[in-house]
Amino acid sequence: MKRVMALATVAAALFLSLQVGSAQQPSSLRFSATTANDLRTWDQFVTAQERSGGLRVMQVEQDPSIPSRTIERMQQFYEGIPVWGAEVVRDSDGGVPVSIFGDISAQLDVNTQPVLTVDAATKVFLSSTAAATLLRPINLVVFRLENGDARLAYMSVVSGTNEVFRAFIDAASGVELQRYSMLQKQSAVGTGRGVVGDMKKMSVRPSGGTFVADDRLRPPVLTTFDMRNNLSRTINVLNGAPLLASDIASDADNDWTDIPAVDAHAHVGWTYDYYFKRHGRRGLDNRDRPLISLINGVSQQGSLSLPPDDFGIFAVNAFWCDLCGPGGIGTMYFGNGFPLPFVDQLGRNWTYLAGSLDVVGHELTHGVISSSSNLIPGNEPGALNEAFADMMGTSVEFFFQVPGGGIGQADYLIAEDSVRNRSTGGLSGIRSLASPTIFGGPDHYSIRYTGPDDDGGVHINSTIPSHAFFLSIEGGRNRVSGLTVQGVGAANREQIEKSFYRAFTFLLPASANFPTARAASIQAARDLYGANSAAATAITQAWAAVGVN
Amino acid sequence: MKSRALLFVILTFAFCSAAEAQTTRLPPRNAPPPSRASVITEKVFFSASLLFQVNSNDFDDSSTFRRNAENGRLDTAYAVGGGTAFDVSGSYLVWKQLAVGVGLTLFSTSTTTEINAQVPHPFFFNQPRTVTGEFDGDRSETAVHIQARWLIPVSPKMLVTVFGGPSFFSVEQDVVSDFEFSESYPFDMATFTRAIANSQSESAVGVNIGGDVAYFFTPNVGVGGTAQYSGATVQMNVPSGTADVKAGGLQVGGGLRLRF
Repeated sequence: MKRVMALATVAAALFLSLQVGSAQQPSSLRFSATTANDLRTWDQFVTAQERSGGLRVMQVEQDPSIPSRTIERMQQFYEGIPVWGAEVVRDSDGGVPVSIFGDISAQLDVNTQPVLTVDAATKVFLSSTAAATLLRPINLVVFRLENGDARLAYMSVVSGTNEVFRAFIDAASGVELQRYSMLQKQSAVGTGRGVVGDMKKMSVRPSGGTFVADDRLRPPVLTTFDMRNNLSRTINVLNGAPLLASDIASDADNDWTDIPAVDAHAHVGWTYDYYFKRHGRRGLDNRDRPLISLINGVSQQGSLSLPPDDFGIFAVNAFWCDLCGPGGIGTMYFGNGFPLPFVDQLGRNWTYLAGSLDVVGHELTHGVISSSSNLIPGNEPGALNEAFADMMGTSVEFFFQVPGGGIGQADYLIAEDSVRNRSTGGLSGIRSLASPTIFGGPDHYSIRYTGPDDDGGVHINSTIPSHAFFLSIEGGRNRVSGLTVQGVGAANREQIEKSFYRAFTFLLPASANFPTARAASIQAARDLYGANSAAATAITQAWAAVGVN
Repeated sequence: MKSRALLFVILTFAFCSAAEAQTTRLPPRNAPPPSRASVITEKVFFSASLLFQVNSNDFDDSSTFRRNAENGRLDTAYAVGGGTAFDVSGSYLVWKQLAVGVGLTLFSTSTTTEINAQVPHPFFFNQPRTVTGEFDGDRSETAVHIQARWLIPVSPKMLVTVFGGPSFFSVEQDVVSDFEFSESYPFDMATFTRAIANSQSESAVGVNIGGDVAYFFTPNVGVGGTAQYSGATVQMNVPSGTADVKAGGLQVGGGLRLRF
């Protein structure tokens, strides 16, 4: 059945006149309205779509940063079926729109009657990976392809032996259209060394003559589970097997000696504190969704005998999985690395990932994104997802640690406390927001990765937005463009953190690309600090410096 | 209050002097009068006075406590000001101008305790929360004085007495042993809610020394003013262990005087 969306002609005209579309997606209607004229036009369009059922309000939130603001997140529907990733976010002040960001399809021509039955689709999903189970019921969605076409698709979340991914299969042919890893990990294999070794407090509770890592002081459930180096049980738990009280990390005398338990439990708490104190946010979903961490999936020594895939996932990795855990509660996992004297090809030893505060901040931020903008974990939205996780991970470090280049100090490196180079002068960490190229990451849009690996280079291209974040704070000159940014200065870093937080959690639609993120972060700075503020200027200059306009 | 007490003493002396001037009669010229002033015919002397304790006996304590896996600090400062005391004494003439006697001084006042605590943060080392508050308690002192009194009859109606001896003090003091506070996430602040205090009684031996001027309207009844120091140091149990707490001090005042 063919149906042209209401006002599609107007939209198409707007699309052409505003040049907001993308070359790869001719039917995509991507817009960033922040001026009075644009807002008037797009608000009429969005309101009309809402009335016709083409857009449905899925979430309404009061903005904690600006209490008078209301942020509506709308999902595009086509004949009652959601269009995957097609969203509009409208920020209003007393009913008057202040900004509208969207990425929807202007014209759709999709047969909404599936040829494949649900049972047949289930078989396809279950055959998509070894030992597959479905973590979510199968849903019909309209899936937009890169070339601008759209297909009716079945969507589900599949868990295999060492992967969890969201998959889309053509509801007519059963062909897999796309899959996104749900393990939003802290990059790939690398090496380094060490846990900081500082004394930390842990919020625990006594239980049966011992103490367990179950935080009863912070508002959400915040529990760290010790998988006791039982990888198969770890995988089962990630796939939904119940967690037992006896799984909670424990210590007999409350003088904790298990390094990953200390670091994971404390750092997750600190990250929750950062979001609360800096942004007024109550955890993952702003409603104190439980914070569940799994540690000790495999010991350092045990990692040496793992198959490569498992090694990459469970040893030298940390990840957030939004649908993992009992009842799909959402779970963080922190690998333990591998023992010395082993190092990776760059000379780095990887030790307990939970020991890096920025890594923990990064993973928890993925959970924040899952509950807010829900940036699609592939291509540019995925790179934005990773970039924002790095921005917030770094921000957590600067919130709690003394700036500097030493162990346990705040800097713009990611995972440098856990991934440490054993050779003199060697690079520690896995990414740099200050100098992305030292780890091979791009520092300019013109040299972005465009291949299929890494879900479209999500961990690679993330350094373009995160470098803009760095430049907005510290200032400096971009290596490629030669453009200089007047940063707000470290003393005012809060302004940049809040602007990016507002943009990435409230204003961005799920399929946002880099230009949309640019527009949203500038708008966020204007919302918070004024159109001519230092923050708005710095962010504008920074995006220009990294080639995103 | 201090100046008022001194004024009271001065007025008492002035009153006694004026009364003396009005009642003195000239003796016969050729018959030297017997020196009534040098003769003490009474044996028993009794006084009841209202005194004002001039000085304060402040003291403080500083202790540490364990909370949230870290040491916290509790500072308490007790303001024990002056106040009104009731004093009675009785003595018996044992030899010429020497009398021995016993006295009792009762003193009580309210005390304000300033509480200042550093309470460790539950999540972070070296980020204590400051908690401040006040506690209103009581101090009472009972002092029994053993006195040797030297009586100096200035005139038939005026008697000056100097005295001294050991004193036995019993001090009761409300002592803050702990405190309670309220806190909530993110636990960066804590608010004082109440102090936990206990009443302690301790005793010690001290000294007393002083002087008294009395004027007798009748052979047996008069008024007098007195200034005395009686003090001791007791040891109170406080959170840090024990604290030296001073009791008594300089007291001035006056009241009824009897002699028989």
